[in-house]
Amino acid sequence: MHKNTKKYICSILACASLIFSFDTAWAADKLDSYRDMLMSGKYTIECEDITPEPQLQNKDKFAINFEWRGQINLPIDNSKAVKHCLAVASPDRNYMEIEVVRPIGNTAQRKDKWIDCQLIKNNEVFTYVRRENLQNGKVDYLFKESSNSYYKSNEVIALNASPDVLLPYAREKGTKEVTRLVNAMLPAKVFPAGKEYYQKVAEGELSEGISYVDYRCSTAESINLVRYYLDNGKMTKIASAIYVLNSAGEVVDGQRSLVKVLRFDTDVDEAMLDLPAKIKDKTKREKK
Amino acid sequence: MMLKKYMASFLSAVMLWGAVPAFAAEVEHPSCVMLKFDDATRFAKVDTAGTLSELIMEKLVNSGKFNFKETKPMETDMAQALYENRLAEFKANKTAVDSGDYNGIFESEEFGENRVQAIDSAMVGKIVNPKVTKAMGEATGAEYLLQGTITNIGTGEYLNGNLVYLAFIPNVYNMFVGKNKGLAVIADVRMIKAGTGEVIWQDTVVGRADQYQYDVGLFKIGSLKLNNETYFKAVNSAAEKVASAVIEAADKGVLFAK
Repeated sequence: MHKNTKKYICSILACASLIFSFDTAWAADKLDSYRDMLMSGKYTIECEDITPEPQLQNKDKFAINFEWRGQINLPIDNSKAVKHCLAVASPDRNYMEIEVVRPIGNTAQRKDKWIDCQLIKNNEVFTYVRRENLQNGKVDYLFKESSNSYYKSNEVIALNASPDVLLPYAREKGTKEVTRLVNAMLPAKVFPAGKEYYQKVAEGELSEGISYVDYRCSTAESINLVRYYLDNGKMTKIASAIYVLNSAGEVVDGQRSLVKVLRFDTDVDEAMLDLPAKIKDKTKREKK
Repeated sequence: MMLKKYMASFLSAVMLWGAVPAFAAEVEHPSCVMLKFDDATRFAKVDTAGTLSELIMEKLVNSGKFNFKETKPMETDMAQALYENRLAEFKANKTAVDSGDYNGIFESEEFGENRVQAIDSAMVGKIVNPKVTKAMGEATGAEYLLQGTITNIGTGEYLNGNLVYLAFIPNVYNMFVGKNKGLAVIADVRMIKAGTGEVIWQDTVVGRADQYQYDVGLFKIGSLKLNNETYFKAVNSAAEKVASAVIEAADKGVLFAK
């Protein structure tokens, strides 16, 4: 009997260790190094949100913006273009920029490009536009105090930012879609109670050294799938499929999106985590 | 006798000369149809798309430069057809979603980097679902589909620049103030190869019509009130610009795939 008890204990321990090792292997995946970067808040992510968001179009808009002497300022229809995103993070700062890449050959293309920028530091958020002249390379910065005000050149006023914006899940990594897809790999523990999170469901190999890791988040209203692609361990692409469900669980709509990852590493250009030298900070702060 | 031979040779050469350009023209202009424009604005019920499409079609047919299979815009709604096709694919994928094997979903052609999910985001080089475009091509016998989207219809006011310059002279500002009100129609137009769904050419145009009002002291000359005439002028202006852009692209040889 005594001998049998030992056997039982050994078996139980063996099973437990097997289950534990299996669980550990399942939880850890090829995305560990990327997840660690997001958790430590030190990374550079450069990507292209190449699939447009669902078309809201101009159904909520009537006025067309007429500029000086009646030149029409064509609406920047974000849904049409590839959005180039850059996110640079250090534990106490976050910089993010989004550029709408205009289609080549479009007569509506401007002679300059506008890049939306957002810098968070010292519990303050600076939002401005970097304008690059494509003909002479001149760069200047534009800032609007409100949607109704005019742009001011090379100055900015900060707004207060909640310290929560630097939490791993809250940091913006680009467009909303890019942020959602990058965040899908974050562990459940970083999300506040009640907020949806993704769980790893599968991983595997495709041809030519490409591997993938699949994540899923299911709610009563939708099934959200995210697939991360790695080329010999380096992340290259993130794909997403959303299945919108009715109350009977039937698919009533769907959405696909694709993000091309150009860069995702720990090298951080510290200069990007400060305001550009050309911008004057005109924020009125209380003297301590 | 010899003269007859020379005459015959000369005449056949002339006939051949005449026939060659006609043949060449046919080669240069593949068959196409024009689909009724899609109206992505809040004013879709006004059917600006219908008016605009007919005006464009008329101008293109009159140019005599295209091999249209139909002389009226096709009523086929490509945006709706793409949406229905996408929904059918998502419904068909539900089994794969439930099984947990997502390769059938993510490794499908629908996830190609050049594939567009909606017609109004289809720029040059992008691929519109070939299942849809091919079916449209086969149904009409056309190799190419000319399609467009009205992306905005709107109004805006601005000061007339020339008269405002006078405002810099003391006491003149109150006498001469010129105001303009414009109504604009902004539209994208694209040529799609039916067999592959590839967008070969694309452009954006702005058609507009303006109303003028000059305030001269207490008097007002003109009116800023928009009316049907202004609306039609703006639509017609957009149609002219679309037709010119299409004709120019055809002349440059960039409208169809090489």
